[in-house]
Amino acid sequence: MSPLLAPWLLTLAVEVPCVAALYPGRRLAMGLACALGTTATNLAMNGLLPRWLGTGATWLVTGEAAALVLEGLLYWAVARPRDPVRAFTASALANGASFAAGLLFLPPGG
Amino acid sequence: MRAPIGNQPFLTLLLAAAAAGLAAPSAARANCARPIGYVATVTGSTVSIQPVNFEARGCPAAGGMLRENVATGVAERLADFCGPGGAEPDQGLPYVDECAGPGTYRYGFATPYPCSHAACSTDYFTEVTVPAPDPGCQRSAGNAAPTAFGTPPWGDRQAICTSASGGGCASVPSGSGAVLLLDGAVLLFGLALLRRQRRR
Repeated sequence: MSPLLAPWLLTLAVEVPCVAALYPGRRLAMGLACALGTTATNLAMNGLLPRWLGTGATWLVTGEAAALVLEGLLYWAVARPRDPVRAFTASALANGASFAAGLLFLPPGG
Repeated sequence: MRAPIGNQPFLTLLLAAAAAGLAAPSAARANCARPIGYVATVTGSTVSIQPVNFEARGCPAAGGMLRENVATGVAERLADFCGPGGAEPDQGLPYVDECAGPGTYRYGFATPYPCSHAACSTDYFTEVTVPAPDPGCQRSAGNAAPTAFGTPPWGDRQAICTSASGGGCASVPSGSGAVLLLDGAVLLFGLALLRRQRRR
């Protein structure tokens, strides 16, 4: 199994419900947008970004901040009506929750 | 008119989970980063060792790949004989050790990975067992026999470090706190603005 699979699946499982919860009228569309956006940012962060930034704190903060901004912009673009506050709140909730889930549920070496 | 925030008990639960994450032991797993080490596959008497890391470090590697016989403690350096890529597209090439005798072996880089605070763990070696002898085995052209090596860098310890045990070189990665603070600040600020919008 690819080592990228478990982080990706856990991130999806946490972030999609978070984003859907903040868009009660458009849960399906926003959940789908979240799944696509999160897939792109998660795989880019764990698969590509380390080649340029290594795996230290610079990579961690840069990758997570970029995910927060990019996913917020995606939700802002997709949602109707467009609301940047809600978009970035959803992105922060989803990314914070998935990061915390990673700390709690992925065992060392697992 | 703005849409309501939505399911308040669900949001409360998520916020509580995020707060629990803030209080949990700090370990850097950016969206759950993977462990750094090796994945070994045994086929008959041939062992394929796939290095797994963020830098696509693979065969050939500076310093080479070591093989330690667990029973005898004898360590040897493999020839830089590389297998085909493809199984792990984002990884470097695997080392291939042909005609290994039956026994349990540890395979790892002679120059170990640096400890990565962001990974779940960073390992010196992976341990595999070759079950049976293969009397007719012949090495491929270009795959020289392993050469003697002194003492491998790992002793009996497999983990260079882990991000949650507090042992090895593990320590609280500064980036982890910054990420949680950033997400938490944006979230709280956004929720406050959304609440103000609803009151209007």
